[in-house]
Amino acid sequence: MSEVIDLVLSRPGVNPERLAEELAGLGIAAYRGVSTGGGRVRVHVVPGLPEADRAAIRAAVARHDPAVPSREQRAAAARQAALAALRQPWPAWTDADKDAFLRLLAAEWGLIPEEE
Amino acid sequence: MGWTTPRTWVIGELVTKTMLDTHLRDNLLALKDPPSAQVMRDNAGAYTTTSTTLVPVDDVNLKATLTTYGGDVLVWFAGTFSAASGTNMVLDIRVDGTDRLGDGFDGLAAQSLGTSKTIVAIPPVIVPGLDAGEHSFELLWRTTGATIRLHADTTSGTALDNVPAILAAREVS
Repeated sequence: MSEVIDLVLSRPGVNPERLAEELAGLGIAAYRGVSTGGGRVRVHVVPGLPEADRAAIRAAVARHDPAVPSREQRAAAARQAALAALRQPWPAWTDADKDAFLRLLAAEWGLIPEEE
Repeated sequence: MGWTTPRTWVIGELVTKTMLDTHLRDNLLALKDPPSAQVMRDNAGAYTTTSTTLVPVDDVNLKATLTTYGGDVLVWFAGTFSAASGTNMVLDIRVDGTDRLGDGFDGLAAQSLGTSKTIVAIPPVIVPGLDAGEHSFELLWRTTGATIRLHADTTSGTALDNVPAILAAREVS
């Protein structure tokens, strides 16, 4: 098991996907991921993290807003909205609807990048 | 009553009440009620991780600690997991904060996860070679991509969340 240490911060009510995105966005090479649970945030880093990086991590956790969705959550919401718009009888489907559905399906299957 | 290495009886010796209590009664009681630890964790919310390195799920509350008499320990785990999107999860168990039971492998168990909740178990594993004394067993996990979740939440009102994460250990010899 490669060695990681935890930076443990008290922070209830987080959006784990968004927080992970924000921490990854700091571009800290020692960052290995984040865990949440029980009102604690544990940021996993390799030992020897410089103090400036620690401070940047603490600040990111402090300013984290759980109400802000992650990129993936925004894409999922957009996908749900697009699917909801297609919920109509088949005769009402236009060529544009069929094209939109095909695009959603292709993104779902990983054949094309998902649109936000 | 604890376990005492059984006495080797000598021909002609006087067997006293104390000897019988220690070597028969107390040892039978110890075998009937071996050292055990079972955690049925309600986290009042899901645990999550994005770590691609094995890390403890909860090094305080999801940890089974017991004091053994030097025998083998049987340890196992079950919990309900999901992922934010398709990914793989690896589980392992760490003994005394250092030794990984799945050492030499990626872990003890692995599972592909998606948004649907799935029960995943580490089957019973015998841990030999532990000295008499206190030992702890912690669940480790990692993802290969998306955020993974361990559901253990009596506050959610959703049946698939309202289940405990179960980690158990018992001395078996």
